[in-house]
Amino acid sequence: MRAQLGRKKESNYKMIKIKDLHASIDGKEVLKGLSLEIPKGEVHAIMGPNGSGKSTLSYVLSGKEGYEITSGSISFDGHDVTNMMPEERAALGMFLAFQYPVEIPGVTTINFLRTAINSLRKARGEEEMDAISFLKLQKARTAELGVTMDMLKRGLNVGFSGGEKKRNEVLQLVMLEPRFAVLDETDSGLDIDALKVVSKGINSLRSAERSFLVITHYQRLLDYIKPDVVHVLADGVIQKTGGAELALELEKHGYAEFEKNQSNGAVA
Amino acid sequence: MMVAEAQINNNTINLLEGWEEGLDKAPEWVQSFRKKAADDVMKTGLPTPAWEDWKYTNLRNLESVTLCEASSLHVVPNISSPFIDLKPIIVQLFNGSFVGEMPDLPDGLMIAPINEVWTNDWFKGFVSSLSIDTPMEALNSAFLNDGIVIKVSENTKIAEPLLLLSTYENSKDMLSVMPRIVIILENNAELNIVEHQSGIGSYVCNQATSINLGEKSKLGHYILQDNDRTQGYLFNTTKLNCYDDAVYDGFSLNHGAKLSRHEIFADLLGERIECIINGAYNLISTQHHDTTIKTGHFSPNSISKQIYKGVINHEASAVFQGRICVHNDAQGTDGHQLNRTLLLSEKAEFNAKPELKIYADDVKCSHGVTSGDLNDEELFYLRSRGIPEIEAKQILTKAFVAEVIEGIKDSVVRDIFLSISIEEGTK
Ligand SMILES: Nc1ncnc2c1ncn2[C@@H]1O[C@H](COP(=O)(O)OP(=O)(O)OP(=O)(O)O)[C@@H](O)[C@H]1O
Ligand SMILES: [Mg+2]
Repeated sequence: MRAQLGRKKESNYKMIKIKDLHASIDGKEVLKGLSLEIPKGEVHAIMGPNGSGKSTLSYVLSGKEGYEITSGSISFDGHDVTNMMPEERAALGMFLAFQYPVEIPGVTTINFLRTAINSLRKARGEEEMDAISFLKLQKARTAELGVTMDMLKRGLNVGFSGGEKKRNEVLQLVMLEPRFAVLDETDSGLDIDALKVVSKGINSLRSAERSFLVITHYQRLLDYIKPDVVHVLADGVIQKTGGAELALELEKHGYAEFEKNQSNGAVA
Repeated sequence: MMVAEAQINNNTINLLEGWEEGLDKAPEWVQSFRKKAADDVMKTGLPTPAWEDWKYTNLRNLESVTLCEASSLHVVPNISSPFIDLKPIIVQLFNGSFVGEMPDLPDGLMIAPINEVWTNDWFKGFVSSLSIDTPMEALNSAFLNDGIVIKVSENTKIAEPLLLLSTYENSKDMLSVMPRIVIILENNAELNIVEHQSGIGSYVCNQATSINLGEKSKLGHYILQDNDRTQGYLFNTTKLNCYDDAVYDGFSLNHGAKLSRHEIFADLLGERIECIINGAYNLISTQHHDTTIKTGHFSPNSISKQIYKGVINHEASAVFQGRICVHNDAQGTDGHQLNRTLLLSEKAEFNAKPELKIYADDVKCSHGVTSGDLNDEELFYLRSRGIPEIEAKQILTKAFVAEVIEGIKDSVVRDIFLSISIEEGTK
């Protein structure tokens, strides 16, 4: 059931290794022994019913407080990150595009981006990016994504439409250039044109050095961002793994098959 | 530096010490004004927590103030101010008195020491007409002598801002500083004032600010209070009288003292006034800061707004008391008050008393008080992008305060306030 059916790539180096992860929040176990490996350079998709634990996985991967990891481990590029702070994981090159990005009044998007870039550089022992290079980078990236100057000068995500918030997440992705990115329902809230633009942005980052975990409910996104592997997450574990065709199957039949597992799948 | 213990056993009497000095040189009306004020203080004494408006601020510690032998007394300290960037007209005040050189003043702007103008009818008329509502005001009035008057003539718009660099310091020979600042804008006059206040060492300062805004006049009044944070006692009472169509845009950023209280009485006497009294404070250590604002709407169709944001750290404590009183005639009043407090430590303390008293029926009024710590989701968002926790907290704290700074009408002044460290001030 948890076999790796992913298409073989040249490199088989595992960027992400999640082993038997059990995680609870407020006393409720949400991840119930989840295991997942993502080789370097691959794009994996996770699909699954509402409430199955997809966002929880994304939070646990990025080190959000409030989740108790009762057993299991997460390693990224050879580092055990299970107990690392969010900023340490970011410095290693991990990134999460949030399903529901928060609004932060009083912090402009542009200042936030600059602070983030320079924090990462500092943590990696690199020099700060000077204002001119930053401006150049920001101009190029915002143009690609159709993010306006007005949005950049406004409070972070404040008053942004649902789609604008998602674009802003992808803007951060392309500016921070992580080596592993989790995209949690980045497609939801995007109109058809925006979906194309955003997918193009994400695809531009695809490389043999970078891995992605794309969480989505819809095949549509996967038409643009072709996954190497698709997983089904239900009831806190990976219930099925397959190629890109698995997404099409799920689109047709839904998750009924796994709901059954869900009621049987007793907690270990 | 030598330190002299000045034990003030009976704080009222001690703070009044020396009030008669120079009395005989003052004009007749000032003499009786001061005598009456001193009398009032003797009668009531200083406020105690048993008084309704002083429940949360206790002056008991004033009894054991340790004052330094002030070595630099009468030497004007060179305080650097970020507001120099405004290319302002600069006036330096030391313990409320004018020091240094008087700058060239544009036509229509008058700045003078109080004791040079107090024989004028307009001065007497305004100051003697002010009600004295608190012992701190009475105490200040008993000493009426030090301080300055700023007056803008009718139909005059002063383009350059006025920067008051104000320093307080006192010694064992001088137990308290009682400066008075009088600001008078005649009809249709306009002025922006920035007060950069710095207290040095263990001082006791009890300032009174009296403001009169004529019809259609506009005053921007911005205060950066940047004292030595843990030793001084700072009291500031502001009386604001506004007439038809006047605009008051007030903002203060307070870094507090050992104990400080800013009490503001805003009387909206005319119609269609816009009166904004906003502020922010950041407290550390065991600082205590009290903001008490009483707004009175006496005529129809005026707007009053107060937004205060507080950041309280360590074992510091803050008080916010706000009263909006809408009198019978004040139909169409728009009165709003909001106080939001960020508690950055478990031992930080905050007390609020919002009050609405409404005697007219066609009014829009609201008040709100919130307090809490930083938002975890916001903190996580920043950290997930690589910003370390301490820095992320600073960013969010600054953002929290920035929201109220953004409201400053003058964009250059606003940008300077935004650049000032919320934690450190200009230090
Ligand atoms: N603070 C919490 N306390 C208790 N239960 C929680 C808490 N936060 C999340 N949960 C529960 O954890 C489960 C997993 O939630 P999660 O957000 O990971 O689902 P999801 O798979 O991302 O769903 P969706 O497809 O709707 O985004 C849900 O049943 C949710 O109600
Ligand atoms: Mg989710």
